[in-house]
Amino acid sequence: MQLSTYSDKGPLFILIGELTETAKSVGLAGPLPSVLTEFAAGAVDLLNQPSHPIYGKLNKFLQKGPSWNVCKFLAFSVEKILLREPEDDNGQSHEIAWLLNLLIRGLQNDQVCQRLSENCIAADAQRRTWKCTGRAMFSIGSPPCTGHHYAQKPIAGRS
Amino acid sequence: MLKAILEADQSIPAIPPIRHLLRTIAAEDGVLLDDLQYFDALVTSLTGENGWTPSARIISFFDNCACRIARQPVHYEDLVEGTNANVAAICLLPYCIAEQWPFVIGIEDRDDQKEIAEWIARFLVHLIRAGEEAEMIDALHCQIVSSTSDAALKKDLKKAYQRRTEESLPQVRSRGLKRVTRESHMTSVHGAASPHVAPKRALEPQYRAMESMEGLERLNHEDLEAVVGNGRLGRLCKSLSSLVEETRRQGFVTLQGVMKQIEVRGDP
Repeated sequence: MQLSTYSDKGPLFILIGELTETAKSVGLAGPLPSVLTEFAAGAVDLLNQPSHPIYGKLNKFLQKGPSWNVCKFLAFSVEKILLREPEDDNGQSHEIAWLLNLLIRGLQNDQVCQRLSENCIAADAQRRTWKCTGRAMFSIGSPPCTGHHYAQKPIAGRS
Repeated sequence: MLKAILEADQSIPAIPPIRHLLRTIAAEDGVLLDDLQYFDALVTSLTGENGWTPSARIISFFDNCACRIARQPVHYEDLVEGTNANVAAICLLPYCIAEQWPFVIGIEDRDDQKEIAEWIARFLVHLIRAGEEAEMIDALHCQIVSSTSDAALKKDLKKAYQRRTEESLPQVRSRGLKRVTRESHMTSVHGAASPHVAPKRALEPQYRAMESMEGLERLNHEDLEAVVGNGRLGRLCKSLSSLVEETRRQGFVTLQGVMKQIEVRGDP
């Protein structure tokens, strides 16, 4: 790899750096939450596809900080995909599909889900997160108004 | 389309498929439950009889409610949950009507308010005939009445509902029929798949975290583009979730080695 001419070395360097920093901060005594490593593995491929609808949001996420917040990662990802406008006007379904695939592959067992729900996501935010995720599963292919209306008019009384 | 089929001659062969299509759309958008009786209740409430015909304002009010539910179904499911009702088996449209009624009072003129009130009464009563819980519908109607400050309009609301109830539901009220469980009839509820419908696609087997670093510790000697393209770098990232501590530590060290190689190249 010393002689590699791989064009996306920079973002890849940042991605692997943030993953290892996150692992260092959590410690290697226990496994890193699978949703994080699945995200990293998916991001390795995505950084090779600048035309992918989620490329922009991925790069913005990688610029946020030197490591990832294990507790807030899932809620943050769901919010950025479901409650924000898509990068591309026609890319909402691709972004939602990417998120759902991440959830399917990343939430591997009850322990991970339980840990995330107990330690990381407040009750109201979790309910909204899972409701948004559930509605998203049935809105792929519908007009893109669903996610945009969540962004424009938050549900009253929710944090 | 709904307005067109209401006004069309029902003997036209195209009408039944269009009604089926509208019923499907209403169920998919969460406006009504996917039960023929619910759609029929809506259509019947909008069908003219005994000199009464639905005005353009009534159709517009219904359209407003349907669009709101289609755009923000979660909001109305929250309203239903607030009443401790079963979200999966409740029609959301009456809750939206109760929510939007105060805006009718504020915006529409007196005649329009009276017409919409008449339609609301017709629709709610037909919903009870279709099997919706009478107590729940009564509570929603009380909510609508209590949100009305105009005494005359309040009286119109009560009279319309009472008249429709006495005409259409004496046998239901007197026998105190409970709501029939509809789960066995439903093919979809607010867009969710029924447990009786087989999924269209079987999900992949659940991913198992890797247990060894076999084949991944030699990444330092290979081209970066190749290890990204063949998925080995992605598997290396996943090694940090391994249930085997030794695998996690090896994976961590190898990832640091990958970073070192990129850094040594001088242009990260």
